[in-house]
Amino acid sequence: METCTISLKVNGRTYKLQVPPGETLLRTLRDRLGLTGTKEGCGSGECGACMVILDGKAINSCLVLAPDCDGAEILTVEGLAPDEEELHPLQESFINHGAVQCGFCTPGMLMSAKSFLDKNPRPSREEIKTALSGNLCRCSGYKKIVDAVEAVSTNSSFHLSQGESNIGHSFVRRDAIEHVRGISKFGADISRPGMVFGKILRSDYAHARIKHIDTSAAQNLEGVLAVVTGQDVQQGYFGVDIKDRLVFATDKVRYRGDAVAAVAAVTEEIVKKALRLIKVDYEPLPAVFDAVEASEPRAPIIHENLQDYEISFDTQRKGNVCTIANVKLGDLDKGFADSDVVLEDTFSTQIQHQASIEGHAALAEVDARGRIKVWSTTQKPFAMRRYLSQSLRIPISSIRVEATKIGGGFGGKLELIAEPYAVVLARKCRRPVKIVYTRDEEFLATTPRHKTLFWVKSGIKKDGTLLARHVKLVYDTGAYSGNGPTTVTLSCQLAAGVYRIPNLFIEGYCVYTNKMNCGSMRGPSGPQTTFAIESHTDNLARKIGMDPLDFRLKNLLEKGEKTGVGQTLVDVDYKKVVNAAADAIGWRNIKKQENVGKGMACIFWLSGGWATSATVKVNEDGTVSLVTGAVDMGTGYLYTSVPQIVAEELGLNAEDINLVQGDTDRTTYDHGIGGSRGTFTIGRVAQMAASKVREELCKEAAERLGVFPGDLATRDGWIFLKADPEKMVSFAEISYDRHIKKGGPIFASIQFLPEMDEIDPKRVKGLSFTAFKGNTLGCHAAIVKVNPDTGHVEIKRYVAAHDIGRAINPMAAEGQIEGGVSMGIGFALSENLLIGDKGEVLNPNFSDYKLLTSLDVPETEPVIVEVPAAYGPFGAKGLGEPTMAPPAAVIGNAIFDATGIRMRHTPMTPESVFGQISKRLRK
Amino acid sequence: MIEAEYVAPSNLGELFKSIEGRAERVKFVAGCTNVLPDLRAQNPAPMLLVDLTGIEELRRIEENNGVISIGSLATMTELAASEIIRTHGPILASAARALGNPLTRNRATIGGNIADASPAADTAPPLLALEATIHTEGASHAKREIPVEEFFIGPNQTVLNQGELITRITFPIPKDPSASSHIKFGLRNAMAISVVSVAVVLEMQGNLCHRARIALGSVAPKPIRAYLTEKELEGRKITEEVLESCAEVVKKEISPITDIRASAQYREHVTGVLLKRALWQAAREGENSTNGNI
Repeated sequence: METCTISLKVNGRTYKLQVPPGETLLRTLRDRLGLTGTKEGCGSGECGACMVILDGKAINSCLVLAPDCDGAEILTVEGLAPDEEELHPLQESFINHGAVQCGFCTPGMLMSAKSFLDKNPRPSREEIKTALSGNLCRCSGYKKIVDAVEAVSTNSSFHLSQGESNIGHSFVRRDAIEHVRGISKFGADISRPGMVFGKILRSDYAHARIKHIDTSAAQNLEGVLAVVTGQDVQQGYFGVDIKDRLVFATDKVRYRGDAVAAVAAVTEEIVKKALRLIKVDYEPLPAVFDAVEASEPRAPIIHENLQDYEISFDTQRKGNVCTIANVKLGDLDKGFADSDVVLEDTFSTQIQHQASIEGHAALAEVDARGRIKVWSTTQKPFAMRRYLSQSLRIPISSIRVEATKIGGGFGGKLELIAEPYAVVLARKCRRPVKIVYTRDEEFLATTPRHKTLFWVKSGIKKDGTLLARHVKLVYDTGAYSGNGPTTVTLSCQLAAGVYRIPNLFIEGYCVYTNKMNCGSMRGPSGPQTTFAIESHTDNLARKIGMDPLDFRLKNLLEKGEKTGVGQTLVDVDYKKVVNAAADAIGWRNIKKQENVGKGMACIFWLSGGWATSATVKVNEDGTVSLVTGAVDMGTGYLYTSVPQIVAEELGLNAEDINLVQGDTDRTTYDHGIGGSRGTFTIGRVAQMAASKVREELCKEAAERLGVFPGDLATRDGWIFLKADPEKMVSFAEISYDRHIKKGGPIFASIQFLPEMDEIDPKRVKGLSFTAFKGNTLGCHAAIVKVNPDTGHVEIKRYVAAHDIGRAINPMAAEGQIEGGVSMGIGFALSENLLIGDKGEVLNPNFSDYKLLTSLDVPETEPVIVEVPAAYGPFGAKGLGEPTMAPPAAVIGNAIFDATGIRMRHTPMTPESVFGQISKRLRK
Repeated sequence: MIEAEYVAPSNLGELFKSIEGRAERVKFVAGCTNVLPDLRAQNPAPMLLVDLTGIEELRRIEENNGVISIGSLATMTELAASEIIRTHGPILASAARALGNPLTRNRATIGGNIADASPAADTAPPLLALEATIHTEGASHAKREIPVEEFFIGPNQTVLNQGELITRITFPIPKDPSASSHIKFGLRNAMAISVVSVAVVLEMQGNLCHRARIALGSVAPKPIRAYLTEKELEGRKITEEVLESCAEVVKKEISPITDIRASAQYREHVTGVLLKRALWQAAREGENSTNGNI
């Protein structure tokens, strides 16, 4: 192919390059110049991750041809800081304001901000939001990013709260500096010598039998190194709760996206060509896309061998229903009979996608002895190793998984995605193989949030006392069960976790359809259940003319009471949280205005447990390393709260804690990050290890000082006598001597499987797990304005109160709340993965899968409530997930208050709101 | 990556020379904001990419004898910032400001937006309302001047021949006193593809509308003029009653479709809402224009 000779001046250096005419500037920067700080999030100019400054203008480098840049001057994030020592003020400000979460959108954001401030040094806040409106961020809700840019424009300095204690102050995350300099290595940024590229051939049918696959033409294409189908590899069924899935479909495909073959070749272009040369002969089968239809007796069966699949819990399975979960309590009929008012409602929700700006990526390399190393964007390196072993029948000992930096996870990076294909291709061609998912593939073939249907019926007394509730909830899990059964289990727990309901019956169903497998998205089941239950709660209150706030206060469970599944609530104060939200928004003083309304909703949540372990070791200089098998998916807990906890336990500064994470060879086991367990569980095990190390340090110091260990205290790396602080010895001195002279180094390794809380086994049936500890409540409230002509909903104010036990790092906690709310508002108003009548995804891109931009997200007001959990480190509870559950119900309730119409389906688009308004007008 | 040959002429003479005999394979590119995603999705046969960005003569925005001329390479950012456009075609500046996002606006050109001929093309309704003319040049320097309402044929289809290039777009400065308004209704406040967009230019005498030019986007296979509605309005005072009748008439001349962004029914309804609002704004506040979710 013809090439063009171009000269580029990038970050002050001139490069002469030969590039093919069709190459984008993004590829040139990343692949030829190794400047991987510029990210690819979508490849079609819809996310801003690849933004650079070209001759003074902010542009998407994925939409610029490299030859067009001949003679141009380009600034990338790597060139933003003046030198190695000093940062650009924007970089500094992003770090200090907590504007960096996963770090993937950060380079683009910084460059947008820089190019904007160069032209407009004193902008308004609105102008900043406009300037950043081409850069999508999935983590932050934009508020802290706008804060950071505004601070630079006003030249205001920022002082983080500092205190005596490591706990409760906004320690900035250690890795933020790597993100703002663009040197963090995310999945797609990793390369290996001799590396080639892999890609997956996916089914064009939603449901079809595979009759024959002809790969010969692809095999013969020059540059192709490996073509693999289900015939070529040993496979084992895998799955979270039900093992119902294979890496390659062999007998039949069950959704448009099921993997049929994979190819590795020397360039991505050849891989794509080869995929087109593979001929698959299908016999189409009737498909079903709706969970209710799929539950009917005559529906096409998606898994003929459902009964034979290995399952990890006890449930009923029939037809396309792979889980039936029940919670039963009291006497439902009597409860309804005793009620003054009985009300029924139905609600439904859409498929929401995690839509991390970083897609999935995996790189696999096989060494001379056949041992496989996998670099992956996974949230669960150890589980990934196990899944790979199960699905490809490879011994666990032959696999090493190392997690890369994760550019946002949100539960989308929990399962086998690109990894097994990279592994089989690398084994076949004996070259490192990298697979990076396109944005399209992200939407077609990963694990988004379940579409659901809820039917809720409740009975209440005239005074608002809840007497009875019957709920049916249906989760559409797609072609495979994935995390469906667990999500249904959680949904049942949530539906029974907020209010006192003596007579209760919840029926949960998890149903296969011919769509992509749905999984765990941030707070799985939270937004769906909350939308249904909390919208219904308002309907009940309205029915008897009671203020929805009072109705909630009347029925909220109290400490010591049991939830519907029989879990005893400890360390909670629901009313405190609800009152905090009500006070913050001024609930009782909001004046009634036309088309303006207020709404609130609560979410009950738990802090995830599961097994973990940690090693804390003291280095020769008295600094400490924390070694954990867990990873950080972008929330920052491993860079903020966990080191703060370790430092506080030891008497050290958080800055002195080094971190080793997420590698199955170098660290000990962790279950994987999710379930709001980061601070709660990994923080706890790290605290236990630190405590043991402290004990040993004190023992050693006591010997030296000739005192009792109990009389000693530690601070800033020193151990001193409480009664006489002059008497002291440093960690460094003790540790050095232990390393060199006697006894060996000081460290502690702790394994920990948090206990589950007891539930009442008589009340439940078919649940995939019991109950986690760390109960917590969130309550959000908002004021919205509805435009009756178009149905457009504008959020005027949004308040989010969460009980987080103890705010180890308030700034990080606010970041979780603001980001979660933004995602929840996306669920409420705009995000919707649409499936066509042939099972095809209609909007697999960021232009029509509408994430909210900086101009759409309101500035959330976080309210932190602290009701310490005895079981959590320094009282902390989990926070990440519940933050995104309430917005749909809050907004739905506020729309009702504003207009009297009840929205029953998400997302509540302008058209759907207007549809309800006009329906009412016609009546 | 797409397979292609590449030329980057620095003037029109060079351009036509470089594509001689190869016109059928030519793909003109400038901002690339539509072309690159499209090409990536289509796996096209190898082609000749003709990069226009070096042709300085296609960049100018100028006024000559009451006519505004915009080079086809003018970007949305340039249009939105241009004093000439803000003064004489504020609805075009408003549409330019509403396209995509700041990063796209820095690259996307008016020529590209028109040549792409999306029914939702942001700059089309203002150009229709301003009665613009599209100037083109093709092989052997054949020049054409095409009224914008004849330029679009259907979704992504225009009267352009293969190898024919938009060089500039002109429109006469609306007669004084005139008023205009532009409203884009999308599903986000940025990065939105319009559900409906409306541009109006009215020649007013007091409250009497004596000439109206009304254009709509996203409600037909191509951006359209609403001729019947214009007739309905002309010669009448702008009252609520007149606005209501315009909103009824306009429904007869649009043919919206149902797609993933909105249903035909909703588009029809919103067209009426936006039209009333645009006319009211234009009549009352002259050159006030807005966009986004309202």
